Amino acid sequence: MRISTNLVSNQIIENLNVDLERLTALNNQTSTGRRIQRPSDDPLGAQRVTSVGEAISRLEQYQRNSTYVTNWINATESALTGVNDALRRANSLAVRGANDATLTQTELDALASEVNGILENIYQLSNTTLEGRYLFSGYQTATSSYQAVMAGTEIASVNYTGDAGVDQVEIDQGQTVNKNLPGSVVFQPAAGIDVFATLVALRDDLRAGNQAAVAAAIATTETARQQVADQVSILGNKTNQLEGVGENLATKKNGLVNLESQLADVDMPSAIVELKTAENIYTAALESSARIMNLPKLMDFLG
Amino acid sequence: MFYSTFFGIEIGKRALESQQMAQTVVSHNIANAATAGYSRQLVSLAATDPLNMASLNRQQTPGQLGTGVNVSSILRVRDMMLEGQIQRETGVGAAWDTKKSYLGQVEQIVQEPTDQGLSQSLEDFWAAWQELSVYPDDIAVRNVLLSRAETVVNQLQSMDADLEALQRQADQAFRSHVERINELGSQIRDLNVQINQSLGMETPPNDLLDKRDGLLRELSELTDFEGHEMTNGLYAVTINGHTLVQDNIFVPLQVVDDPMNNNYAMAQWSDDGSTLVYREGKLAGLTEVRDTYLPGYRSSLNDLALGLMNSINPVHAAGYALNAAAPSGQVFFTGIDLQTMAVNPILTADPTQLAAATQASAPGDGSNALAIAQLQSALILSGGTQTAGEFYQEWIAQVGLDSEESQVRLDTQNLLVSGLEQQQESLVGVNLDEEMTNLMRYQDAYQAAIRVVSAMDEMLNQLINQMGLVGR
Repeated sequence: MRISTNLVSNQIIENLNVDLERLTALNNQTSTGRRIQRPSDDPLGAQRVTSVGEAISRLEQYQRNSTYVTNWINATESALTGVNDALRRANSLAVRGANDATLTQTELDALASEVNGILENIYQLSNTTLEGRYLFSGYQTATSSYQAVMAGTEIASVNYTGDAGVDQVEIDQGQTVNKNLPGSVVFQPAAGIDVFATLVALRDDLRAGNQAAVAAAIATTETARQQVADQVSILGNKTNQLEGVGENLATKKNGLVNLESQLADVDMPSAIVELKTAENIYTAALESSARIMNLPKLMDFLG
Repeated sequence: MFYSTFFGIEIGKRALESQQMAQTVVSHNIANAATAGYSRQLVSLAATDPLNMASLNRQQTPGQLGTGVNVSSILRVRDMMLEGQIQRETGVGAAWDTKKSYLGQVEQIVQEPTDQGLSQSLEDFWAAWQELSVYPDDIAVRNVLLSRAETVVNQLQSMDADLEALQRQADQAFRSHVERINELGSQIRDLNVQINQSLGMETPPNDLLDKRDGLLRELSELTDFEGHEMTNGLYAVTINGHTLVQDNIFVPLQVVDDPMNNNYAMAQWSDDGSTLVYREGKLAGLTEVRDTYLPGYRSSLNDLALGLMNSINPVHAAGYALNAAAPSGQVFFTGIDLQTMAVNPILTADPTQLAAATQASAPGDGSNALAIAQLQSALILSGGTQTAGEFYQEWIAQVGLDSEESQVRLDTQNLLVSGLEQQQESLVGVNLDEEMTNLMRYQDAYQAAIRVVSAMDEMLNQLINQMGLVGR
């Protein structure tokens, strides 16, 4: 093939350009750490990276949701554990008040004020808040859960001011968990014991010296405690479930983050080797080009 | 046997003239060694007709007597078949080059995969609904949701606006390219006339031919065409069978706004008003970008916007605003398409109007927000086969594939064209060593011819001044 003088320089320019382009692309990859700079670098890879990114961000949201629900449930659980302990104490007071015939009315009155203290304690626990929201009000989180009707300085009866609403939170795709426990389920279930009424009755019976009625309260306070304890154990199970889901989310997220990194990140060692190679090729191309352009011409030898 | 006394001097003179002309051509080649589009020129020297052509009454001589040399022609070297091939392939390459450049800009508009792209905003948007389902009574969470929704709308709309701007840019380029075709056509017509005159005087207009080839090369970047060179040196250019240039006639194109296509430009022939038909070149690339790729991308974005509006709006309207007694009835996004899409101003003015609840007067109820958050995995697009995320991700892949295709096709086409150009360059390019050698050759021949003349001169001197003096 006949080589014209222009052909030599044209090819040098073209080849150097190709080498430099490759060098720049590799340098871009290593300096950003990203394998896919724009969709056309790997269209299907770009699609998968975005899709994995979406999955990761959903998992992160599920993690935030489940942390929040866990907080809420823990707060509920600890309030109810308090109620449980208080009811156990009320039960033992009822046992003492019913079985000891030697008790004077003064001693019974002392027991009655202790029961009143328990009632107030449970009333307060039933109005527990978390971040300013009432735990036992159902959907009415802004309203206190229970409203006491006072007779003098003492509680005469307690009315539920919340509703039966149960808020559900998604903790994994398609998997929801009940966030709250309406007070009506724990303290005054339709087919169960009204905790407040039981304590009010016990207090009033002690005060009236009606030991037979106090004896009946032994069973009711125990059933009421059991009713609360059942909810506590349900909450405990739920906490376990949340922990399980949380671990599951973390594992899934790790897997996805790994996958995203494999899809999107540059494999540094091999990228650097490639960069070095491209650099060597470019240097070699420059050297050989310089040599070709410096080749002597016929006219150098003509006199 | 007779011939002219001065016959030898005449041979020397012709030799001097011819070698000098040859040296001039070589100098022209050397001077244009680096000129783009220059075809090296070759001198053909030929022996002139000998004395005593064969005939019955010819003189008796031992053989025909040579009469010296003459420059028979100065021709440029160029393979016109190859040139035609280069023009066709250049057109194909130019179409891909245009697409590559525009689709590359689309990728910059799309900004994926990054943390600034729409996919991130969409994820944040859905997460905000989840957040609202957990904190339905929190005004700050409501405000975050509204501002993220506005980000999604803004991002969709600004992508759409950027793509539309790109369409208009392609349209402007189209218009100026059609103007350029007209300029090229009229220049080719002018050259036709000049070349025809030169040929009529039997002087090959090599440099004019180079100039015309250069114009044709540029024309081939703009559109595909058929070229025919006539024996009289005239060149006819037709585009899809319609004449652009023929002999000394040039039919200009005119740009008209196409009311059927957003008033974007189309090209028509000025003589019969028919539409210009082209398949390759920048015109074809621009048309495809403007009328196929970009509208396709924009309509997908519009589908995405509609998918979000149509799925979220009814759920939102059926829900209850904070502490509301009756269903909200408010849509979340107002508008009928992407351009008019907006977050309902009633909600932005009063975030409590966001319908997070499915029950009346239930501030702790986030179940409607959850129902909307779960639309993230609902098949709301492509006729109920894709989620919003999947739809958008596939769109990104499509943008990437289109751009990748244009890059790959351009690379292969460039290889093909540069291979053909190298072949042509190898033929037409000037090699300085070669020209040097030729220069030496003609110079030597010139010097020798001078010797011939002086030898004849000496001989005649002998003849005239020394003869007839015997015994003087």
